[in-house]
Amino acid sequence: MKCRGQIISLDAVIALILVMLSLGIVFNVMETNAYDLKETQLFEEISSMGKTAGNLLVSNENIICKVKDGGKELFSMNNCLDLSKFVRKEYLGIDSQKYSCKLTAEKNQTQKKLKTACTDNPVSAQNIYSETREIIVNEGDLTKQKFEELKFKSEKITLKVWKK
Amino acid sequence: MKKVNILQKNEKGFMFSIDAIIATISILALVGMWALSVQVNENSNVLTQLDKQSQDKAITGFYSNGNGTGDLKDADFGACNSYYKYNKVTGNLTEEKFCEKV
Repeated sequence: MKCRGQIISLDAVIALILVMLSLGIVFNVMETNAYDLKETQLFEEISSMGKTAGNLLVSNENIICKVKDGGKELFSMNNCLDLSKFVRKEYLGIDSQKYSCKLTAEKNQTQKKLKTACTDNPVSAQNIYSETREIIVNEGDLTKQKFEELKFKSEKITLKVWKK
Repeated sequence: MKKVNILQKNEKGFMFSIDAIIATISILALVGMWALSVQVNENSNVLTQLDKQSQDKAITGFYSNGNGTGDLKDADFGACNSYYKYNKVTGNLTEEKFCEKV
C-alpha cells in the first residue's frame, strides 16, 4: 500500500508540474501572439497607407507634370513631380486626422522649391513607413518640344508616413 | 490473468510508438510549412519592392533618354523593367532594360 501510495503521489506531483509548465507555456505563447498580432496589424496599416501614398505621389493627376501643346493638354507624366503644385495630404490618400507624413527631396534645390503639407516631425513616432521613389521634377506645364528633348535628370524623393 | 497482462503490455508499447511517430512527423511538417511560408512571404515583399524600383528607373530613364543598367547575373532574385528606344535615323527599336537585384 505504501509503495502504491508513493507511486500515485509522485505521478500526481509530476503531472501537476507538467500541467503548470504547459499552462505557463500556453499563456506565454498566447500573450506573445496577441502582442505580435497587434504589432502586425499596426505595421500592415501604416505599410498599406505608405505604399498607397508612394504610388499616388508619382501618379496623382493633381501633382504630376502635364504636357501641353498650344494650351491643349496632351498627357500626364507619371514619376514627374510638378513643383509649382502644392502636395496636399489628401492627394496622397493620407488622412490628416490620423496620420502624419514628411516628404523630403534628395537635392537641396528641389527641397527648397517643394510645396507640401507633409512637413511633420517624426521624432516622437514609434513606427514609421518610409519609401524612396525615383522621379524627375519640373515647374509648371511642359511643352511638347521640351518633352521630346528628353533631357531630364532623375532624382530621389522620400516619403515617411506614421500614425499620430 | 497472465494472457491479459501480455496483451496490455504489447498494446501500450505499440500505441506509444505510433503516437510518438505521428506527433514528431506532424510537428516537423508544421515547422517546415511555417518556415517555407515565411520565406515565400519575405521574398514576395522584396520582389514587389525591387519591381517598383526598377519600374521607377525605367520611367525616369525614358524621360532622360538613358541607357539601361544592370542585369540579373549572379543574383538570387530580382526584377527588370524596360522601355524601347526608337532611333529616328535607322528606324530601329532598342530595348533599354533596368534591373534591380538582391
